[in-house]
This record gives sequence, C-alpha cells and structure tokens, in this order.
Amino acid sequence: MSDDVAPGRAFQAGGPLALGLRLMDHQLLGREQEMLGNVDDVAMEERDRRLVAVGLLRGPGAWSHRQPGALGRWGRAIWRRLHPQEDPHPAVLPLDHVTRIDSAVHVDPWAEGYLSATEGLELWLRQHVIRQIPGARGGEHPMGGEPPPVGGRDTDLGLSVDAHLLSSLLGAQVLAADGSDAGRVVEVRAVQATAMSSRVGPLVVTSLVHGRRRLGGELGYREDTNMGPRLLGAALRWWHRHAVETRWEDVSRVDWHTRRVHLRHTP
Amino acid sequence: MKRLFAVALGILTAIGGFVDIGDLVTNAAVGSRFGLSLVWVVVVGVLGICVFAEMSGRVAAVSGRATFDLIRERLGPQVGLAALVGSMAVTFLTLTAEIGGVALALELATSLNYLLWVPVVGVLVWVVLWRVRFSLLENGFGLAGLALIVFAVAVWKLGPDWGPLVSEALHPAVPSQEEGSTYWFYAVALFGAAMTPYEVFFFSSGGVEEKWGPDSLRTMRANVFIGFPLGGLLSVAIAAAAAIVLRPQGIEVTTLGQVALPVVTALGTLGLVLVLVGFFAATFGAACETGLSVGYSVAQYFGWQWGKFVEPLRAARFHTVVLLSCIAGVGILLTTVDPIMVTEYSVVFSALALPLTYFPILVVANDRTYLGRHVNGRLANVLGTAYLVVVVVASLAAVPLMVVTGAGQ
Amino acid sequence: MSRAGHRRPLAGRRSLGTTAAVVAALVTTGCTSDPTAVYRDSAVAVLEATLSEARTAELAGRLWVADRSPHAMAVVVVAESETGVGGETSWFEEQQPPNRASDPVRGRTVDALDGASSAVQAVRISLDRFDRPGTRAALDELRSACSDLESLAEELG
Repeated sequence: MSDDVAPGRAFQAGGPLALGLRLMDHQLLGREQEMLGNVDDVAMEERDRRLVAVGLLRGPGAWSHRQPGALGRWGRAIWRRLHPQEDPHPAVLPLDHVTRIDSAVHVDPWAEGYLSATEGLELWLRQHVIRQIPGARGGEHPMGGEPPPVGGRDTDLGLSVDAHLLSSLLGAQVLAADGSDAGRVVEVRAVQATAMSSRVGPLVVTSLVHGRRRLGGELGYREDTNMGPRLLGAALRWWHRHAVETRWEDVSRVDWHTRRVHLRHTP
Repeated sequence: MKRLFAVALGILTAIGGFVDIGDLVTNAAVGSRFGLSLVWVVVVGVLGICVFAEMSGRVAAVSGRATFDLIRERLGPQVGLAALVGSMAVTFLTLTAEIGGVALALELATSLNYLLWVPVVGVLVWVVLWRVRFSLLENGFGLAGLALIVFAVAVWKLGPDWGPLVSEALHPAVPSQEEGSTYWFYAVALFGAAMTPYEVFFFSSGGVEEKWGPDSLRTMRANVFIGFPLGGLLSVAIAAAAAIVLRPQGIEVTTLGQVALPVVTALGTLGLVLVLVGFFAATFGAACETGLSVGYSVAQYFGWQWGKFVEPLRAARFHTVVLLSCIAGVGILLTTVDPIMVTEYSVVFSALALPLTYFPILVVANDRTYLGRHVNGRLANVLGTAYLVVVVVASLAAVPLMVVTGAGQ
Repeated sequence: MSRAGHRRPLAGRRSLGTTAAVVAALVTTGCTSDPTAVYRDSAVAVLEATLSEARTAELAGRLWVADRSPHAMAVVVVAESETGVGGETSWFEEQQPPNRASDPVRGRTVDALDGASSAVQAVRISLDRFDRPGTRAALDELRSACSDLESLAEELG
C-alpha cells in the first residue's frame, strides 16, 4: 500500500471490508465524537443465497453472548433480570445509519439519539446515583441528563427471526465437500450492497477466510501484507500460512445452530 | 513565544508528574540496599516508557483512538476482558497506593496519624475528579512536583565520593551481601515502577480528549523525549540520595519518612518542606491520574463515554466507576494494611500486566489505515519489538521472583 | 493519641519474608540442612532489620536535636521505628528454638533486641517532651545499642 494513504480511511465506497477486523468491537461515535458503545455483534441475514450484514448490535445482551461459558450465561441472566422489558432483545442498529467506518464506526444523528436513549445502565445511573450527589453537572448538555425519547420504533429494531450473528460465523468450523476439516472461520469479507459514499448500508459477504489457527488472526497482518514490525508480521504470517480464502459462492450452506460451514468443493 | 511557553510548560509538567509513590519508594529502597547498581534498569525502563508513550500518543493524535479502545478491538472481547481485569486490578492497586502515599506525606507534615488522612484524601481526589477540575490542577501538580529536584540538590550538597558511585552505576553487579534473586526481583520492580500501564492509558486518553492532531506530534514528542528522561533523572537522584546517606548505616527503606531523611540530612527543614510539597504533588496528581485511568480502561473496553473534561451527567457509568474506585481504595487502606507494602506489590504487578497492554499498541502503531504515513518507522519498530521481548520476560519472571525472594527479603 | 497499632508491625511482613526465605532455603538445600543454621540465619535477618529501624530512629532524632528538622517529622519517624523494632522483637521471641544448641543464640539475640527496643523508647519519650538534652543522651544509648546489634549480626552471620 502506498505511503500516502490518508489516515482513517479503512473503508472506501465500493471497496472490501474485513468485518472481524474493521467492524467488530469497534467504537461507535456520533457527530461530535460522543461515545455510543462498541459494536458488540453484527446481525446478518440470508437473502437469495447471499449473506448480508444488516445491522449492529450493542449492549450487555449482545456482549454477554460473546463471552464463553459461565461468564456469558451470568452476564446474560443479569441483563435479562435488570432490563425493564419482560423478554428483552438486544437492539439492532441498521447499517443504513452508519455514515463512515474508519478507526471507529460513525453514525448519523438519528442513530445518536436512538443509541443514547437505549443506554439502560447509563440512564439508570444518571437518575439514581449521579443526580443524587450534590454538584452533579452536565445535565444541560445535549448528550447529558435525560435524552429525548425516540419515536416508538424500538420494536421495529429487534432482531428478526431469521437473523444470525457474525459471532456465530467467526470461529465456526468449516467442512469441505468430502467432510474433511478445513479449519475455522477467521475472517469474513464483505462489500456494500449498493456502493454509496454518504452511508454504509447493508454489506454483502463476498468471501470467508478460514484456517487451522485462530490466534492472532484479527491483528491486521493478513489485510496488509507489508504491516510491520517485520519480525512480528513474519511470525504471524507464518503462523497463519495455511489460511485459505473461499468465495461465498463456493459455500453450499451454513448450519447456524451447530456453527458449521459446508463448502461445495474440497480445497 | 506563546507556543514556546506552552511547550516548556508541557515538558516541565511531564518531568514533575513522572514520579509517583511507586518511583519514590522503589528507587529509595533500591538505593538503600543496592546503591546505584540498578540504575541501568531505570534507564531501560525510561527508554521503554518513552517508546510506548510516543507510539500511543501518536495513535491518539492521528486516529483519535485511546489505548484501551485498541486492546478490545485487536484482541477480541474475551482476551480483551482478561486484559481489562488485569490492568484494572493493577491500576486500582496503584490508586490505593497513591492515596496512601498522600496520607503518609500529610502525616509527616503534621504528625497526625495517616489513617485519619486517608478518608480526607479519598474525598479530595474524588471531588477534584467530580468537579472535573483535574485539567486545571494537572499543570499545578506537575509544576509542584518539580520540588522533587531537591533530591538532586541534596545529592550534590552531600558531596559524596563520586568515583565508587559512578563505577557502581556503570559496572552493575550484585552486591556481596545480597542474593542474585533479590537483585533481579528489584530489577523487575524498578522496571514496573518506570513502565506502569496507567501512564500510557492516561497519556493517550488525554490526547484524545484534547483533540490532538498530526500537528501536535512535535509537542507530544518533546514532552515525551525531554520530559520523561528528566523525570527519570529524578528517580536516579532519589536512589542516589538513599545510597549515600542510608546505605552506609544499614538502613533499608520501608517507610516514606526514610525516603525523605537524606534530603533533611543535607538541607535541613527547608529541604523537608520542599520534599513534602513534592511528595504531596506527585502522589496526589498520580492518585487523580490512576482514578481516571481505572475509569478509562473500563469505559474504553465497553465503549462508554469517558473523559476528564466530561461532566458526570454525561458519563454516569465512567464517574460511577471512579467513585467506586475511590471508595474501595479508601476502604482497603482503612484495614491498616501498610501503604508501602501495597506500593511494592503494585509495581511488581505492573510488570506482570505489561505485555497485554503494550502488544496492541505496537500492532496498531503499524496499521496504515489508522496512521497513514505516521506509522512506525524502522527505529520505532526495532525498539518496540525489542521492548516487547523485555516486557514479556519481565512479566514471566515477576511472580516466580516474588515467591522465591519473599517479595524482596 | 495512641501510636500503638499505628501500622501493622513490620514483623507481619517480615515474618512472611523470613519464613519464605527459610522455606526457600530448605527447599533448595534439601531437608538435610541444619535447623541450627536456619535459626541462626533468621536471627541475623531480625538483627539486621532491627538495626535498620534503630538507626532510622537515631538519624531522625539527631536531625531534630541539631535543629535541622521539625519536631513533627522526627516524632513520626521515631514512632514508626519503635513499632518496627517492637514487632521484630516480639516475632523473634515467639519463635521456638529448634534445639538446645540454639538457646545461646536466642539469649544473645533477645538481649540485643531488647536493648535496642528500650533505647528507641527512651528516645521517643524525651522527644515527645521536647527535651533536647534528654534526647541527646538517649541517642547516645541508642548508638551503642545499634553497635551491639551490628556486631552480633556480623558474628552470627
């Protein structure tokens, strides 16, 4: 890559995006750099034999889903217990509201309002703890105190029934056509469904990268083959030398329940 | 002219703010037992913190991302959580040690028992962070911390025989009456005291909040490459003063009062006043920094709003974490555990937690989509990789050495 | 205001360290090491730690007597040293000597420790009374108690 890559352009309109590296676990930011949470997961839907990333999940419900074992279960149980709704689902922010992806994921004003109105813990703490302490300032700030309620579209933003999670795909076992083990999914690459520069919109999965080893797969050495430091990069590329990229067309089906990806051919 | 003044202020603040209770106690303890034979560790540690502070400062300036943000992003939410728990524990332990240090300094000044001061200090630290006034006080504490230069003045005034001292520093060896394992234990402790993780969190988070840009890089580098080494010189002065006055008497440093004794010996009451001002500024400033850093690491991991300029009703979770940390720190100190012992453990555990903090910084500092042409050059990468090895070795050696030497006996 | 219990006695931390050092020594030399030697080593460690505390008190006391330090600082440092010395002394006295051959070691060590302990207390008493001549005299006593500690530690070590 040339030296004059402007910093912060991880994603050019129409260009490829590595979802694990560039989208997952990144900071969500508003217009004035307000922090609105992290991308705790990505909602995906299967449409016409294509896999499309449609929205971002944020919040303890989504985060606890990604923690293994007891920690994940307890986290989820606590969240469900403390959530005001009976049967809570993590809210999904459609990718239409994402304006830009660089080192962080930038969202539009509507998303700012929505995300700040659904920060349960933050709002509860403001009301019941912070406000009770004398001298608590910041209530007059547009992003402080009580945010204006978002017009009742909350129910529309739940996870739809046939939606899946990116976290189920990353790390899923890949099986070749003859049933042999082809490693685990290390990265998922996608492009915009419609090339736009004003917003990101849904992302269509173009390929999967899979290999025997997962450790260190998300550090960025695969995406940029010149990335330094030299020793570390060489070591990591050697470690992941068996990783293979398979186009989405060569995937016959994904068994989300058992987390297995079946290929049409044998690599 | 105004710009020059701002740069000078930044450098002076960096010098005065470099030393905290960990540096004070560890350097004095090392000087009283090993003389100057461990000065090379201070040099290695200061160079290391310069390398990593510059990298994380550069990442903050060019990409707008603070350090802990990057840890989750590159290591994932599970390993990131382990890193969070580890560094939060260490930073919280350091916060407790700093609050204890302020209380001990106040005890030396007033002879009122330090336990009476502990809750007062805890409240004061919290109020400063609550009213979001730390930005104003940061410069004040940094400059007041320059009072610790009195250690260098004391060393000069004591007029020691320079030959053996310099020779000991330049030809390091384990002193005859000490064990090799104790020597290396204190080497790890001194390294941890110089390269504490919270300094990098605080530095980069402050840079993001102050909206550093690529044009701030030169000032940032001046602060780091001039300020930090001079701060390191202060550490060496503390060790030298202890080596000159305390070591010949067989006095091992285990209290804050002993740290001050060499200065009082050389410069009398005036020296004591300056030393106590320096102790107070260094530890109170560091208490505020560590309190904020505990909040930074949690908030950045989860993506919550954070900031030393951000008021409580905009960042309730962040401020709640800071509040709980102050309360918990005070609570631990009120169990009458020795604050100096807490300090000694905090520096060793700092060494233990370093790799998970520094590895993502090194990786991201090479990412072109974040930094464009400001990625690491050859020198930064060579030093960064070398230090990664050193940091991993120190981390692996920390606990075994602690067990074998009984935490430095 | 009571200064007893001002800090957990240094012995609490030292005993962990000395015990750990003793255990480490046993492990490394095999359980064939001589318990007499181990006991003697722990006596030396206690003597050296007490020497450090006692000399600290002496230094702080002399600085006040020479009017080079304020009273408050001397009081705090001497009080901390007194607690430290007391802690080391009582820890050592509680240790069971492994055999009769160690009894002389115990006797001489306890004598030296008690001497240092009462000398530091005498300094503290005069210091609290702002009694400069009295403190000076107590400091001279403390100096000789320190040399006793030092020479015994060298002899046993």
